[in-house]
Amino acid sequence: MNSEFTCGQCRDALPDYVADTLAHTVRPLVERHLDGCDACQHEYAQWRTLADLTHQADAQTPEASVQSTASTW
Amino acid sequence: MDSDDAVCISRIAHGDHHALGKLYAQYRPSLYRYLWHYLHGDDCLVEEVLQDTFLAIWRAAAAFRGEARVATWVFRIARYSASHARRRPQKAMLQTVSLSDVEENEDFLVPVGHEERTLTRLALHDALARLTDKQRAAVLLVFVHGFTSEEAAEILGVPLGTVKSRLHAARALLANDPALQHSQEVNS
Repeated sequence: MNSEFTCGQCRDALPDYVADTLAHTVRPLVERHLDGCDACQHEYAQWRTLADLTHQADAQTPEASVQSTASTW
Repeated sequence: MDSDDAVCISRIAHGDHHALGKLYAQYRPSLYRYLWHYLHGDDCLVEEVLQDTFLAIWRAAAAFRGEARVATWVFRIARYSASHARRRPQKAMLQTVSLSDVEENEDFLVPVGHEERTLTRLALHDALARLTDKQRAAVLLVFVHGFTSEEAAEILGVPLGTVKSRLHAARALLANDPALQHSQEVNS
């Protein structure tokens, strides 16, 4: 456990941490907490899985052709 | 990037068609993917909503006050346009193919050597399809389109706590699915 950052605060921040949109000032707090907390590491791994799956699924989406359609504007 | 976008919006507000074209070219790919999931793969409806979205941007640009990132504002307009479009009477939407549908019809998997890849693709597609529309929208905004949870809440027009609840529900539903774990191993 890490006294400066609670499990609740860490878990609250994990989605944005995994998505790399968390404020730079908070990231080190999350990382230090994860280093010492197995329970939060487990939840981090689940968020990582969800993020990876979402990226892979999104990659199956038909890509829009920017050049061909932008020229119509 | 966002200051460029803000300049673009300002030019659009002054009637600059080229600025609208630039914004369209920049946002179309990500908006298309977001809307494609939101509208269940209905390509025609996605195109309609894209047109509605950029028409709305053209009309509303003068009202943009810069309180949010341009990307957040654009996605919020797209989300409203899509919600409105889904309420319009229209032809039947394409049906999502689920993994279980395909497993019942093995002929679908005939191309030998592509079987594993096909199953992986369908498992991923099936995984996102199993989320509710609201969960899927939150997950895509945060993990694919790079919005913070707070920005996603703004785009979706719901409180931050609601977005967090939807994300947590999605995690609980998908993260420990054995079929998806297998898909990840195959894909990695």
